[in-house]
Amino acid sequence: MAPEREELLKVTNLRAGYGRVTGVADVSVEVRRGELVAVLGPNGAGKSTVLRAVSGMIRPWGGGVALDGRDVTGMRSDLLVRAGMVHVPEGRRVLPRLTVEENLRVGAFTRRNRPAVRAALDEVFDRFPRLRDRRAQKAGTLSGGEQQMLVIGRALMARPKLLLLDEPSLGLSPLLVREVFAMIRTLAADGQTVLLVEQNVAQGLAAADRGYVLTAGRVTASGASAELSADPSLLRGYLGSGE
Amino acid sequence: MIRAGTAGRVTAGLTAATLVLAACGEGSGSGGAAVYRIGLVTSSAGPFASNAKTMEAGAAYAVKLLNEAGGIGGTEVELVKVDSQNNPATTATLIPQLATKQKVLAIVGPVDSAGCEVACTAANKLKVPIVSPGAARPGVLENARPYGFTIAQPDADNSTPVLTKIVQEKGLKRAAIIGDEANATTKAQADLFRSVFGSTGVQVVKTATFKSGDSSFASQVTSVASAKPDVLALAAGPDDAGRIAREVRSQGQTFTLLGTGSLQSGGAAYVAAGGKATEGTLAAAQYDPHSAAPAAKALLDKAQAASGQAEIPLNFAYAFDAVHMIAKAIEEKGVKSDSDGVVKGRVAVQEALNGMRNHQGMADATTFKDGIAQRPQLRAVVQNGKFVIDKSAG
Amino acid sequence: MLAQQLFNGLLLGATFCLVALGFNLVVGAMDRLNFALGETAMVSAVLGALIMTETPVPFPVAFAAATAIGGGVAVAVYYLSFRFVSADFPTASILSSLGCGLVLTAVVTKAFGSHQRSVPDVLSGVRLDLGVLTVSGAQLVILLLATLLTAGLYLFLERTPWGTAIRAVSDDATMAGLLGVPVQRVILLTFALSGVLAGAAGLLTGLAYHSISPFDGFTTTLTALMIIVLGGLGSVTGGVVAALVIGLIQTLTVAYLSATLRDLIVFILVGIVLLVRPQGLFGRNAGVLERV
Repeated sequence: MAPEREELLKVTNLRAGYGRVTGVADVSVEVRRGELVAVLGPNGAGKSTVLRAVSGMIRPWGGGVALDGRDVTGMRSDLLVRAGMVHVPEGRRVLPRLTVEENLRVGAFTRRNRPAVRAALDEVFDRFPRLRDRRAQKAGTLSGGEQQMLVIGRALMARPKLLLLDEPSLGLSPLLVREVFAMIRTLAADGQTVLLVEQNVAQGLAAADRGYVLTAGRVTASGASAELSADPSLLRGYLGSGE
Repeated sequence: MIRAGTAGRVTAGLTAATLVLAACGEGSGSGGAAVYRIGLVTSSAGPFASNAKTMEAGAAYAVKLLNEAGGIGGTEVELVKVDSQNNPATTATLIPQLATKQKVLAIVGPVDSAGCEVACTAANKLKVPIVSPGAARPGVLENARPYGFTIAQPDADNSTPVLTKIVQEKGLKRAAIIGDEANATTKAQADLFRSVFGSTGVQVVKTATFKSGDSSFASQVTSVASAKPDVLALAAGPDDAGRIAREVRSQGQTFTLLGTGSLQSGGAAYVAAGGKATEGTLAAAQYDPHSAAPAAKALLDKAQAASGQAEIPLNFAYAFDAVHMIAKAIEEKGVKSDSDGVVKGRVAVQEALNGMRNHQGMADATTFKDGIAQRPQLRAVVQNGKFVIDKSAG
Repeated sequence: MLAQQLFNGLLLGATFCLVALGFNLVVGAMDRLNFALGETAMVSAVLGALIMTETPVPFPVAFAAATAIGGGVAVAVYYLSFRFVSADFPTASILSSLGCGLVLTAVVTKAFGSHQRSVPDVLSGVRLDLGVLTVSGAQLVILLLATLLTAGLYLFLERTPWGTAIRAVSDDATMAGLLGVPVQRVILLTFALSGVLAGAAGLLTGLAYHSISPFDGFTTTLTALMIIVLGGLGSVTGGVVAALVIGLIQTLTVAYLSATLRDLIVFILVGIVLLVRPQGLFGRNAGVLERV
């Protein structure tokens, strides 16, 4: 077991929901260091709920979450960021009245080393040159694609061990969707561990190393992306053929 | 038989106990509860709150002296204090409460005219004698006779001759008036100034308004200053007047500040609020804290020693005299302290007060004329942080 | 005289501005109004005035103490009236903070009396004659400190990580939390800052008016509410502009009309602005309730 292959995130028998409505009945997911793992499934399968319960946005009802071997179940989201996990929720939630640069700096709030933050800022600007051009612009005025870049770049500012991405392609044009997935693959190739939630099965599997298929709050299939893609019945039966 | 006997003894015992209890009750009725109750209507809020506090101290001190001397004919005096919060509605409910629940023989207060208008009228309706130490607005007792009294003489009667003399002697030509148009007491003061200036040919070059308790006087004083008056007439409660004085001097203005007798009544509060800025302020006065009259001097000296104050404020002395006049009335008429006699007692006290001539108190001699005290006409000036009577002006 | 009156209005607006900014900080961070902020200003002013009269310390020390007291009281109000009140009941914190304000007034009147407390002058020897207007030492101090605090707050919000975090929480508290911003601590910080501003405003107002009354608290709250409604809930720029506008209008009404009409005219003006622009002069949307 090489250290770069050890488990970074281990979710065991997670149960969570909203009010009295159960969103996730029993989900176990593992992400190893350096992997890009996709959680796939139709609308309402509980994919986002898994991420929210993992990142402290909602409190899990049961089960456990361990990050890098440490139990972080139900921990407050800002402490989870310090622990090395950043959640990019769906819907490109930029801080609209802050500038692009301020958005990025808030992403580095947990880091107090000014030169390192500056370096991280440059790194994000190198990765997304369009953000550099718009650094003094209010984030609310960016286009959808730019906002998606900003929220991912902002998450990277904390130098997370694990990046949680919720539906990054939602609401983007096909051209932009391709662009976003290319960017995610680049991130993974650079060694960033990513747990991706995606409704777009084809794109998700194409990008990910491994996948979990969620139906009605439970994992109904899992395996390497190639295996899952090769199982047409699974795709047709549970997910439809994608877009 | 035995049973019946036991029952009989038990019954007898119970009856005896009841009798003893009843006797005790009666005992405390004429002994413990046998006090002369005097109500005191004060106010912890509003433009005259500090005057009310001074009044409270004077009344409490009067009661203390009375009780130390064995009360009235051996019966103690109890002061029942209520706080109107400067709210007419509250005042209107407090008076019946004092009358029926507390069964007071008489009431002292409120210290201000607006308060007295409500309280004195209400007390008069309930036939409870009420003596305001400070209500000086003309007509304040209109609906409060024969049970309402005030120890302060209205400014119009007392201050007009004094202020007229001041204006003439100082050769004042241009006057400004600052007043609260919404407050009846200060409005009456403003009217008084207007009539004094009118009769002496002084031109009123500016009239500025404020709301009592207002915080900022910068705007008003700037307006007044721009009219270049040689005197500013303060138609204001003592706290507001003091802060107006500070604003005047902090804007570098040097015109004379002039007040009615009410300002001198609240002199301590005026100086406390205004500090050095009040120096030289002229006012009419009806009370001399350093009176040379023997009776007044003895009481003033004693009060100074007891309170540690170098100067006894007007409302202290008036409240003191109010309590003592009521006590004198009770004594003269031989009013009983039991609660059955309270209605008759009130009538007796009212009659005695109305007939009172030349009561020698802490504030010199007081005679009620139709409920209103007739007071000496004096002139006062702020010197070294206090109003002093300018005796040379006579 | 007009120049002098405009200056008076500016000065009044400058003190209003500080309290209004305090309100807006808290509105931004947690969409709640702290109805005890006026009383917080009053407590700081009364204690600040006491320090000035009873101790030999120079004015800057008394001023610093007043701001510290304001910050402390606001933090206490946060724990008593906001921290443990469920987010599902926005009205609960209105009532609990109103209650806190009443308690503060009662405590001050019990401890120090209900009378108007005189506030000593500062720099009483200084007087600047600028031709059309003269400025006293105290007015200079008020203007200087109010400007410094407003500018300081602006720089803090714009240029520091914690300031940016406050604005981030104000934009989207959940998202800020997901980025590692400790939201509860940021809210606590906004309360402390609002208290510091209120404390400063309290003592500076006392300086301007030469006195402070323990019953001034709620009036301060009402004026500040009017200002933030006029300027746009949560808008810092709007708060500053509206404070100056209301200060000027109050002063000019008193100078050229009547003190009795002062509040009426301000109410009418605010009413008209809200009819035309319900979100206020600089408001970004319909208001606090729509931003949840």
